[in-house]
Amino acid sequence: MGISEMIAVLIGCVFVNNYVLAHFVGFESIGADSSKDAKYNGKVSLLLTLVLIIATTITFPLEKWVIGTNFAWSRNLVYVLIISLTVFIVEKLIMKRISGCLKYESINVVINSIVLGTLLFNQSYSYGWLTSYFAVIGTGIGYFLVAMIVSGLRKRIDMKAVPESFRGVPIYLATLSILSLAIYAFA
Amino acid sequence: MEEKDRKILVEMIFLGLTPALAATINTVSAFTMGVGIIFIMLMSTLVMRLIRPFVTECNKYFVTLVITTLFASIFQMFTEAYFLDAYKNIGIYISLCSVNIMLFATAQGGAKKEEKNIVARAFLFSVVFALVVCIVGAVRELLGVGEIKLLSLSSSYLAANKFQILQKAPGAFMMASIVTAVVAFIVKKTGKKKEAN
Repeated sequence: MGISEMIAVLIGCVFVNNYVLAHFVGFESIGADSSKDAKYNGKVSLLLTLVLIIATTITFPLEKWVIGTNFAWSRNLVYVLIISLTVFIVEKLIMKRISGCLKYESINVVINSIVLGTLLFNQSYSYGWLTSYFAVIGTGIGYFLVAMIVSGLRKRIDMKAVPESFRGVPIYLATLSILSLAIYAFA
Repeated sequence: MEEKDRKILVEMIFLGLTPALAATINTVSAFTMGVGIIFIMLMSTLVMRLIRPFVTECNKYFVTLVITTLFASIFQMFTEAYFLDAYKNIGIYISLCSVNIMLFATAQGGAKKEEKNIVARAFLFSVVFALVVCIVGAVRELLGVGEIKLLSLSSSYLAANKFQILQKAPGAFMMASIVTAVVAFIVKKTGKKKEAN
């Protein structure tokens, strides 16, 4: 795969093939934390991208030479264990020195389905090693983009008179529906 | 169902939506995912209840992750072996059940001493959730394709006037929004009735 295709994969993961809006992964955590500011969203997205880069570095050779051959049954367990380990390493070694990340954020990333989802989708699309890095960086940027848009929109929506039954989760999902429609138009 | 349980139910439906939204593209996938959610939630909560003495504050996240992943993998392999058509649609999303916040939180509740009847409540939540998933799947398939495959129902009028967007991601979010609003409305109404009585 050439560099132009890799850049296409990166842009695709940010807009057209955005995992949050096109594949429904990770939108619960955005919905639960959408009242948070840009700094929080940036920290979670950075942690997410770092975890995805390290996890891809470990899972790609494992997938190619071990899991993909005879141990496909163990894929979920191995991936989940690698993600947990990676989050632990990233939090202990990197994030604590940079910004004093809270423990809650690391747990959020571990149980956030976007991490496992991205690794599984990259594997199912048969991306190469280098292409996977472009895809995970695109995923991190795409997640940050959606988190920021949703956070901004929610602040504005909260000021409007929304019908009582639609307040909270339903209006958030309706917002995602319109955002998803906008991104669907790119495809 | 108590007032506390009703409020939790609405939150649960939201937190468990990731695999559900992808699975509601048709009734067969929705039914398979519903059964899967009942199996994974019930078994992981039951096992967490049984190993409660060994679960400490330090290892609770790790143990819960491993147990939910284990049951998600078992169900994924079962679906791959016996329901290949559904597996092609929702295979990855069954794997994602292992990090689903709804299943994770319920399984973790199984290890808490103060939680009473957690297994029965997990079963009740998962059955209601599976029903919601099946209803959304039926509506999306009926309006989006013009038939319900699982019940062998079809409508020539709806087949000629399809809402094709309902088969895509925006339609899934739209349906989820309507369903959660209806659930919130019913929960509020039944709560008010109980208060009046």
